[in-house]
Amino acid sequence: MITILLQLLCSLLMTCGFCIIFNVPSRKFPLCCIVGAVSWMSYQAFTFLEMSPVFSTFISSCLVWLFSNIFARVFKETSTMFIIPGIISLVPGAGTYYSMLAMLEYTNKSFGETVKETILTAGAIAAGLLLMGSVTGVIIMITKKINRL
Amino acid sequence: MVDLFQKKVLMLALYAGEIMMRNGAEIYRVEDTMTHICKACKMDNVEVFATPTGIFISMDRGGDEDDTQTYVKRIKGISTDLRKISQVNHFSRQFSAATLSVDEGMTVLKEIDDRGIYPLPVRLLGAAMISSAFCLIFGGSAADCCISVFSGILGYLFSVFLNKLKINSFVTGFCSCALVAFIALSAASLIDAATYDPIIIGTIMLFVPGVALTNSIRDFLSGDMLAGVARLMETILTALSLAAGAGVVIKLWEILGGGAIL
Repeated sequence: MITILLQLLCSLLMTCGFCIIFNVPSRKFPLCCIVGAVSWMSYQAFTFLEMSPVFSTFISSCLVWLFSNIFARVFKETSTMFIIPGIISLVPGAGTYYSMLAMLEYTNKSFGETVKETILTAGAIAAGLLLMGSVTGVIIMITKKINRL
Repeated sequence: MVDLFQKKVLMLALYAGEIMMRNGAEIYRVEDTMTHICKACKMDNVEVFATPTGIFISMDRGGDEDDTQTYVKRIKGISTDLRKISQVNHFSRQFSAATLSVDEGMTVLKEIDDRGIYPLPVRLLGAAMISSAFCLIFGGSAADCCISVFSGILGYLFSVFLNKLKINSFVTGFCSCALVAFIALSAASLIDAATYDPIIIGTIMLFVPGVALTNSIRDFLSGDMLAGVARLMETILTALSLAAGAGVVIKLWEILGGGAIL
């Protein structure tokens, strides 16, 4: 329980920090923090359910897209404002570092493993955004067609 | 003969696009905003082509005898400022509702562009928050967390300093990560309770190319392949330079005997 609370606190802290660095207006901080907490906590939850980190990242990035676009519609903002602070905690910085370490130690096997996982994680973020973007695009197109009939 | 009103509209649209592009907006948003501004001024033929390094716009009033004006604007130095993107977006909506004249629009845009970012101490606090939070998440102890606060502040301060000197972003990332790795390694050899892995990871997250990655995907999604590829390459190169910066220092530390120097 304490670890969950600690993770939640950390995810809020880091989203807040990124909001400051990317110059988000202070009134939008709570919304960005919600998106950031959703992204990190869902990632943690899915890895806890013994799904692979790559798949967890994929689902989390889908969720970030969904929440950001809902917030963007509701609060009349650009969705970029919520997506960027939300998704940045999923970017595999640790994976980059560990693959670099593996390269320095020149143990070929672990190098391949870590690099593969890092690239796949980055790809999973991309795939999540792409999938949700295409799906919402299609849904919007269909609803427009229906409204016109 | 030059149509003065048309020229003014051209400069206004270009300025709006330039602000958005310099602060990390996606391509389709930039093109959309510029087209909306021109259309609001009754310019019927508008074509905008934006890439992360330059904007091309050409337009006329749509009649047979109208002159076409074209402008090429080079974009230098991309940073991320989400407030400016959102404000220019609001401005273009307001402008399309036709409550502003072109000259008023120009002053509004200037105001938006001149508005600063958060003061440096606040941004340093943000950097400290990010690095300490990530340090805790990736398995750091309380001692690591305290050290990563300092390494985050110093690393961010160094990157701001290098940015002021107009050094390109890859070298900035490389040098900042090298400094951070050095701080972490010396702290780990001086203090028994500290390990350097979580400290370095926590601070690397400050420089991670999340904005470029997200934007490149969204550019691909809206069909701007050129910009998507350019930003994807930026992502890969930035990640490589970060890893190289930390790696060089770690390897040198190993070769030179590490804690023996201190």
